[in-house]
Amino acid sequence: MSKTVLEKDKNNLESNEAKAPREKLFHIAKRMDVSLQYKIIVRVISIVTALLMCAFVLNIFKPGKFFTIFSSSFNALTGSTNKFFITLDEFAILLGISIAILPAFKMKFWNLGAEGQILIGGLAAVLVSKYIGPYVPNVLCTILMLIFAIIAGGVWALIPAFFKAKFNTNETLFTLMMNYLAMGFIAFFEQVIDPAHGTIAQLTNGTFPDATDNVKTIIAFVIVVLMTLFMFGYLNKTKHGYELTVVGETRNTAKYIGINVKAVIMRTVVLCGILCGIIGYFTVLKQKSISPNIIGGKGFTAVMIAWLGHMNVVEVIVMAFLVAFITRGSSVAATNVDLGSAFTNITIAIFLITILAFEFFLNYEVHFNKKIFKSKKEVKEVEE
Amino acid sequence: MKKVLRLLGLGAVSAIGVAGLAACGGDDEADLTIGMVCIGDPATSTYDSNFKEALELTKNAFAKDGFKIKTLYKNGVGEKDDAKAGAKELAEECDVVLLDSYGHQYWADEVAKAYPNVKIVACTGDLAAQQKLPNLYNAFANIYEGRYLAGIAAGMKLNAIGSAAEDHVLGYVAAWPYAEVVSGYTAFYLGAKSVCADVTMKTVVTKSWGDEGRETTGANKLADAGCKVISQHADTYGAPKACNAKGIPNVSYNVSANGGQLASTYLCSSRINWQPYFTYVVNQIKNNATIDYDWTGGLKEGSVVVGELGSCAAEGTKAAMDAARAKIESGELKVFDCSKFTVTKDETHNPFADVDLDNDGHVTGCRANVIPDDKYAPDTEVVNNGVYEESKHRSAPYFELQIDGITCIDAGDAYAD
Repeated sequence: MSKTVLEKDKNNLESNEAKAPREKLFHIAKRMDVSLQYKIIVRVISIVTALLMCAFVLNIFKPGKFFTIFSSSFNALTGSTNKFFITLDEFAILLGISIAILPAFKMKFWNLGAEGQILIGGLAAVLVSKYIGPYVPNVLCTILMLIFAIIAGGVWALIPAFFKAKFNTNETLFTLMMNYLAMGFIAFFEQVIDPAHGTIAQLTNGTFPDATDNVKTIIAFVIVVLMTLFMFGYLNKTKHGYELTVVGETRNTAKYIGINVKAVIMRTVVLCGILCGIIGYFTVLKQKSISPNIIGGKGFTAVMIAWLGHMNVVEVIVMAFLVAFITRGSSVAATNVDLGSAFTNITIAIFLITILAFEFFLNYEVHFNKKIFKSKKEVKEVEE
Repeated sequence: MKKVLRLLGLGAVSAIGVAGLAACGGDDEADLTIGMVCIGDPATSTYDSNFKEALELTKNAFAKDGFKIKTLYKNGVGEKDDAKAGAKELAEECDVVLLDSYGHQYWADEVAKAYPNVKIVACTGDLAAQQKLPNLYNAFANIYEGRYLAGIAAGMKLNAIGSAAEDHVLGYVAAWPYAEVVSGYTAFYLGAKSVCADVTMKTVVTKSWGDEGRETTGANKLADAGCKVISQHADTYGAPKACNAKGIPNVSYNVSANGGQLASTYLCSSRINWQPYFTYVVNQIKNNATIDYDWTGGLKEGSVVVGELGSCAAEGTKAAMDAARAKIESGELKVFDCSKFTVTKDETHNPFADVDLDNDGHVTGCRANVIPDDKYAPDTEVVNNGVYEESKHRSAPYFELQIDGITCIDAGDAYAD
């Protein structure tokens, strides 16, 4: 409290000295300590506002359909068993990717390459299923698919990490471009595997074609839950977690306290790649195929989720659920009110950007200039 | 202040919750719910809007009889794994799910198995008859009949332009070198040939169903190669616009360029009308009857529609087209009558075709790839009594012969597959 007063006085002093004729209506200061209660309140308000904004946009396109987005979202979640599993799948994938990129983000290594790491992991699984699958039993095939997916994802992530560690290249651009490379590889193999159709037809080896999608969703969900638990422990309770946090805070400190920065960077990013490879594996397991758009940009949405979740596992879970909820809701709403496919993307963007805008209230506080609101006498009294 | 905020937040959350649950309440009951998975957005894609309009017309027609149909659309669904997700989403709500693009069918069987009570129709597909699921079907239209008639309009126009052989050149912008396209342009050429005996045709391939730039380039290439009338099998206005800029008459497909800025060069058009098929599906369901695995309709059923003639059409065109139409509808005239065209088989022409030719090059027998497989293996004899029976053994076209008189001047090698 005293701090605010001090700032205010300083502000008044400065403006008096400069003899500035125009008083500022308000000024913005960085928030130093934020209580949990305040955080939760801002978050709840931001989420509610974001949902209302989505509904508002829908109402612009289709007047009178303000509540459709909510009814559709609830419908997508609870409408039927299958619908529930579709939403659960969306949630599992989003959460999985967000969790996978968390350690790198916590280390301030801006890994935008989750999409590519998943794709390349998936591609490895597809190739195993296609070329090794016919010669080995199904169970062995699926295990090999998982192993190769992990290796491929890890190696794909290691490449930018290596260059970052050794030559301090820009990881944002590097990982971003690796995505397009991965997509290119898939497009290439689509042609190699089936030149006639240019798509990879449904794989049977190691993908358990008789198991229903719902069963596979449960498997994916369980893996993601395990990944999440692992990540919570890894980031908060292990030496590795501590090291990567320090590297993220300041690299020199890390160096002086004896952390091998280069090794930590590579180790952490490879972990991201491995987790992405696992996601690639169960994506292939479910879709029995792969295409450059199979992840559909979720790798980038997950970046937003990790960021808005403040690299905190619990917050990320909540954010991932909300985004899955609103994605499915807007998809169902688009069908119900006959809107184009772009509507889902618009909704997600508005939802995320609104929440992002509310971050302002977490990081800064606004001080209104009381002079303008109070009479001069009162101001003088305060000064005395 | 904090308390107020907290209250506000809580209030908003509960309001949304209540509103959401309240809005969950049922819609007014429809007798039948039909969902359609569209590859593009009907608002921008002529291919999809053609499907959507037909379904809406079907709905309105049944509504007059007191049979309420509810329609749902899932737009912008690609032909890869998203097709499964889209079809599943609709299958949750619908009694019938229509898939409007060929590639959607690769995912249709899985959805059909998962939703045995939902009827899935893979329009333009060719796998249902092989997969033999009780609730998965294919349908197409004999669009070659419409193209044949449009070809007559083009042939008449060529006759009116001049009598020299170099005046009798057609051009055709082809999306892909598949049977669906080959069958169409061959019928178009044969229609022209029926009124203009020495006609030849040049084709360019764009390797895309809808790429306005490539279609424009292709049409310009054809114009430079001396084509006097140009048609296309592709989904944008690229070719019609390019033709208009050069003053070349154009025969359009699915889109009607009659009226507006392109009217001066609009000659004729043809399109598939899906309404007869959708009506058939609804009627079969109403009567608890089985739906055919393969359904095709032609001019007679109204599944193929030939648009009005444009102002640049030659005199007597209408009469010639009407006469041919009557003969096609009565079965007297067959579009792929083997006596009307010749085929060359050597290393460059039809190298892979399994075809029997007489001394003049007329087809006497041909095994086509009717049962889809990776190797395009010929499996079914399709020539009967001197007629190549297109769309008889399955609904999707399978005519793939390169006939004499048609030369490809650009196979689209510059474009990726």
